[in-house]
Amino acid sequence: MVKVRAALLNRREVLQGAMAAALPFGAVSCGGKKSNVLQVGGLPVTCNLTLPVACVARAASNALAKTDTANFAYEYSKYSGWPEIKESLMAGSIQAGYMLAPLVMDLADKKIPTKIVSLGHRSGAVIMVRSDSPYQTFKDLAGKRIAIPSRFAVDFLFLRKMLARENMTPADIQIIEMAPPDMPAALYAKAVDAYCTGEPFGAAAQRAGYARVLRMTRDEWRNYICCVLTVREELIQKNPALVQDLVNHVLGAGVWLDARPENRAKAVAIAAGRNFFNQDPNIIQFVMDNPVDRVTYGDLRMIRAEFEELMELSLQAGTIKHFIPYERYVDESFAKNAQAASIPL
Amino acid sequence: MNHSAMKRIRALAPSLAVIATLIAAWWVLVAVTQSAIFPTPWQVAAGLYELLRDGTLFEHIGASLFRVGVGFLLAVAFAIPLGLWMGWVAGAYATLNPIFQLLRPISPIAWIPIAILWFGVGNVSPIFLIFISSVFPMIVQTTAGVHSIERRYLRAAENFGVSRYTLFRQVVIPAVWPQIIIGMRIGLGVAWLVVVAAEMIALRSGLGYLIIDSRNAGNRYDLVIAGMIVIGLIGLLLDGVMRLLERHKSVRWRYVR
Repeated sequence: MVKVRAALLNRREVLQGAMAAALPFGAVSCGGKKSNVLQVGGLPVTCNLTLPVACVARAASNALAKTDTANFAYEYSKYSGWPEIKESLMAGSIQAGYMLAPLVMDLADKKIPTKIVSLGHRSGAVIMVRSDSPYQTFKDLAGKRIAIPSRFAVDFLFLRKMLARENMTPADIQIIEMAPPDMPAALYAKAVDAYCTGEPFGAAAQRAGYARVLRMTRDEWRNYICCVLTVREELIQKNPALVQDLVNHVLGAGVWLDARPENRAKAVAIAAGRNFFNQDPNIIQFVMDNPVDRVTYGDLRMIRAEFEELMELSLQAGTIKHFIPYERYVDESFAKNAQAASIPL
Repeated sequence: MNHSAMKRIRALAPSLAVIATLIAAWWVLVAVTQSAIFPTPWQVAAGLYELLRDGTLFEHIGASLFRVGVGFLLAVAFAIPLGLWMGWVAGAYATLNPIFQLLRPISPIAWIPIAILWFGVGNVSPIFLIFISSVFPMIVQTTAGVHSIERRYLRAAENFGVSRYTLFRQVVIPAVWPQIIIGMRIGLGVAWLVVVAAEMIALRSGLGYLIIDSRNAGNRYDLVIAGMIVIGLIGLLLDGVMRLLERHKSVRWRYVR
């Protein structure tokens, strides 16, 4: 226990150090104006790509702005797992973050004052198998070991949806929960027969040459959502203009990302940086290109029916125990009033 | 009989009082701050009861004890002969000690990706992580035990003209035995300490898995704390068992001052 704690603490200290190192940069790019830096938590996954773009775009507009008025600034705060972001949001040590949609539903129901204010992406999850394996259809995975990040991840709902489509039940496969960064190695070592997770952990193995895509949300569940922008209710009450501005920038980032391939290349260069994902840019670029709609960002509309479908699937999976009304975990007002911010990159 | 029981209760009373005070303070603090996250002791007890009732608690305990038991026994089987050899043969010590000192401070968490690559996901990986955590302290303790044998025992034996083999079997091993027992006690403590880290890659069972899974779930910190308490209690019990070994007559001579 002590060792685990120490390791987590170290990681956190390192992260804080990294954030501190990033801070002067943020302040400089704000042109020295009085700014209100909001930390937004996120994971280094392509489903969260709108966040680095929104942060950098806001800083760029701040640098361009001539007026002396106080403006907003966002800082990407990198986390290494969903539980860590969730706990920081619960404790209020961050006011905003990208979160798993069903987890927010559950938190809002358990009196943690959080609300979903925007989507962050669509699609972007894959089921990977080894290139040399005989599996061609999802049905071939019957009786096999499939890794997922956790039962509370939307990837698990994707897997269940595939099972239902093939008239299979969860008992027909063996589910293993594992941290996504470990999945490519586990597949390589044949510890699992397949894995289902968000990018870039599929692309990492595919690009390395030992894995191929069996199924992707692009073909099976185009409007798939996992990461959503979540804020604490205090922030909504205290500074709705800030939340609106953040939502505008996420929306703007999404439109910008899907507008032109050059934009995506710029986003890859930003996200691969040390202050953001700190990953191989070639792997992120691979996700962007193979095919171009492997993960999409252009349609961030909040649609009630889609959230209720996630709710229904979570109820069936047993990861949420009872129905939670849409209004309890979503605040649509920002998405409704959103105007895509311009991305001066 | 009655008298000694009374004495034992009296000896335990202060620590029980501290535990009771801590639990009361925890309860009061949660109630005062009206935390929506931190569970009260009652909620933790309710969570524990929930696990007891559906039988999963014993499954988790059994799985963890199995992994720790196998990992620890493998470490004992590896560490004791190696430690004796390293203590007895200067060349072996000079060759191997730097490597073990290098490997010793590495947290089992750092070994996780390698464990998955080598042993896959199943029972073997957590057992390996437990093994790797507990083997080094036992090697060090055993080696140090051999090094600290009083010279006069060895000289006395030499005066009788015994062979090196007899010297090792009849003088060195009995002389080191108390140190080995201490090493085992430390090793088992470490093995149990790393159960949570080791079970980060476990297949749906174990107390470490219980904690990690409850953390992944929305707001189930009652089960996180319940898991922590169970780990603590079992750790106490395991240490108690190892202490019984220290009372054995073959080693008591060393501890009595």
